[in-house]
Amino acid sequence: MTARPVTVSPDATVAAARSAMRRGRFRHLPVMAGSELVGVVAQSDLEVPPGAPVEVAESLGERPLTEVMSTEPVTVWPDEPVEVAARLLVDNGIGCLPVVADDGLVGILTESDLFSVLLRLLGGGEPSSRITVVLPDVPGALGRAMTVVGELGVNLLTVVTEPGPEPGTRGVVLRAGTINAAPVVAALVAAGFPATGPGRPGPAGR
Amino acid sequence: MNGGSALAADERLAAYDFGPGHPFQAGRLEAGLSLLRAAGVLEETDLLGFGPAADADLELVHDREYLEALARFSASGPAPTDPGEATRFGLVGDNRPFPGMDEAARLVAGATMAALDAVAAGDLAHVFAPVAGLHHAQRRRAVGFCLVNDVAVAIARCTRSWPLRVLYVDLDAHHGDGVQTAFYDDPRVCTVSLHETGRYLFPGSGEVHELGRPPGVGRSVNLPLEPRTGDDGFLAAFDAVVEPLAAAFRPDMLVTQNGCDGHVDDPLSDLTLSLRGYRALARRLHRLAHRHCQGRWVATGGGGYDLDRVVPRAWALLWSELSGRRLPARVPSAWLASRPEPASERPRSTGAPSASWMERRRRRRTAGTAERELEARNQRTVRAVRRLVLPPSLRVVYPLAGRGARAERLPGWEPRAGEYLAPGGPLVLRDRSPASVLRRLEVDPGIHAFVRDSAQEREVLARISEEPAGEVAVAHTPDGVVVGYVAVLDPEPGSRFASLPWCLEVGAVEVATGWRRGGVASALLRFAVEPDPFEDRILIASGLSWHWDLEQSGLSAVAYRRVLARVFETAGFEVLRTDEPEIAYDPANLFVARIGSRVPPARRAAFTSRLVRGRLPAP
Repeated sequence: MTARPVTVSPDATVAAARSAMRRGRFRHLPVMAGSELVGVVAQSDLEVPPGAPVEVAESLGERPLTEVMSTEPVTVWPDEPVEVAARLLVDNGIGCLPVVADDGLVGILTESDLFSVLLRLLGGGEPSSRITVVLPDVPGALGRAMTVVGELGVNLLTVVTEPGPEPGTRGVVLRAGTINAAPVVAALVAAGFPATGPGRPGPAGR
Repeated sequence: MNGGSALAADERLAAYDFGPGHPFQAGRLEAGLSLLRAAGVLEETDLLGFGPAADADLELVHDREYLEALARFSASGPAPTDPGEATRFGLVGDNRPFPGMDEAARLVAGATMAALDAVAAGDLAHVFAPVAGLHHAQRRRAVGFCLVNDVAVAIARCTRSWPLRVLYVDLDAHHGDGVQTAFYDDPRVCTVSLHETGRYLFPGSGEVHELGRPPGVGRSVNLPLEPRTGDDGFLAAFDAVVEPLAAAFRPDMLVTQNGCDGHVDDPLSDLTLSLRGYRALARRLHRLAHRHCQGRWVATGGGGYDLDRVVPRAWALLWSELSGRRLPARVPSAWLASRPEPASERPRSTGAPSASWMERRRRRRTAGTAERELEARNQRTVRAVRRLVLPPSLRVVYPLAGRGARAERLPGWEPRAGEYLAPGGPLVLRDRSPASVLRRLEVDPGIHAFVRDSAQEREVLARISEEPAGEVAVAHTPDGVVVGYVAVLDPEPGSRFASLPWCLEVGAVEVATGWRRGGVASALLRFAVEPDPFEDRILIASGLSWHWDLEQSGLSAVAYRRVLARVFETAGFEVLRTDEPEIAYDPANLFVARIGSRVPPARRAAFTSRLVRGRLPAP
């Protein structure tokens, strides 16, 4: 989340909110009446609706935010798990969640924050090879497969599992901290776990 | 050895050895050097002396804390009290510590430093450092067999001691991430990496839009190629980008990482190059060094892990190209016999290593769907990179092979001449000068935005004027010295506007440094777009901030943009907002268009609809 976000007051104009967004390069603004959160405006709330009469379009910039903001926004606690926050965004079709603690607004969580989380979870940005494995969906399979990798002395940066391609399987995406991925793939296959990754079987060096 | 070549390697480098069974092991050096000696192309006098790199050198790129860990692990292994320490510094797995690794890494860096120093000082023209090019090592972490970043250390040292601009070209199958990061904001070091895409392959970076950070934007260039790309695709990408980029960047020295792990037999990548491809690349680099860097060239060995059939031969072919030593017709049979039996598992090629230097030429199969798709993807990548990093005029001089549909030819008009009284003296404005005339003109040395000397600049103008859609207008002094030009040409294939046959691009507006005051650019641009046929056309122009001559002009990017916008506005252009990626990349970038008075509304609409595809960022 962004802590201590820029906020606006409900009687500020649409034009003022637009320019605050441009200056700060963001797309959502909490609307605060004093210390109380009364709404949220998104960039899309500040656009002229397609087909609107010219008078509406021209006067929109002068209108107060109370006329365009979403009231009673969905909020989260600072300690909310990220998957809960993600589900709230998806279920409600919204782009941001004000983060509210006992003593009021402490931050704002947006789609961009969730992308950063996704990036961290999937290990993008760390030097690594991407390997995919298919496991039987039974207790202990993941542990056995990861032991195979660990015994090669290869460090795992991220491991993500998801429902597999067939019923009764789980797909696993690994980011392995090695430039030499083929032996990892070969060891997984030899242990009975179908796996694919970059490089090809063959003796490296000798 | 003045002007000659040398090899920066000797048996001491065998100490850089992660041990038997590890891809990066002493056997690589032994295999390579023994072949050079057996083939009679290496003599003791070819060897360049070098010593270990000192702390002060390594600290140009690495943190002291990391170097201390390296030294400690080298002597006594990781501390058992802190099992996480080795992982933190990357000294596990691929980079497992071995006794003496600190000294070995310092020798590798020392060899590369000696190579760059000798070439920068002019003692040698070319040096090959085979055990070098450890391009993955990071500031405080060993990565991908690379304990220290010898290339980054040597380049940093060299650019500190000499006012040199360095072009670094990385052909290894893996992205040259460590070197890119070390110079990400340095405008004097331009890094280009051709590699297998990081979608699956290590290290995962090297995307097209990794372009650098100010003031080095546009000086990090990446060509991520599809898995299974072979010689043709790799060479096509090289030709489309590296040579014109060198012309644009004007380097003083070429440093290359000639990893051969993209070979079809190499176990560490999915590229399918052959030794023929690597020899062709070595030739191109050699030519590039002489064309653009006064011959200064340091080649490093980089990766490559098939020791039976690939690495020694790739080194021999590279060394032969660089040193001018001719290889014997066949690989010496004594050397072949001395090699240990090849490992049994041979998934790709079959049979024992052969006595010919290169593989038999494979019969070209008709391209199937998969190949066509691969080629199409690579072409898309290449075009995107060209639009991002090459000024339009150079894209014309270095056209893509098999360009797409061209714009409709402009109806001709009689060549015109005009006059303009600039503060520096009277100028003659001319258009439609034939290439033969342009080739005879003098060019003011103050015109040098894109290429090193005025002869090349003149050639740029002549080549543009020979294009079917190319129109060149020049401003010259009464005695025939060109001080400015405007070039109009086809939009680059693959760009959003290329499929509009009535859309043309103003590829360059350039005025010599001594003539930049007094409205020369505006006057020349107005003159250039005045002819009546332009009223049926839409002219576009884009200004990418990293192509601008900010050093000479002393302006900030924002101020330069304002000046440029004014020049275009006086000639009837308007500033437009677009989300075309290369424009949207930097808010200082500029996009302008001049819609001719007779352009029908349907064409206007087609053009406007291409400006924005997604959503515009806040201005």
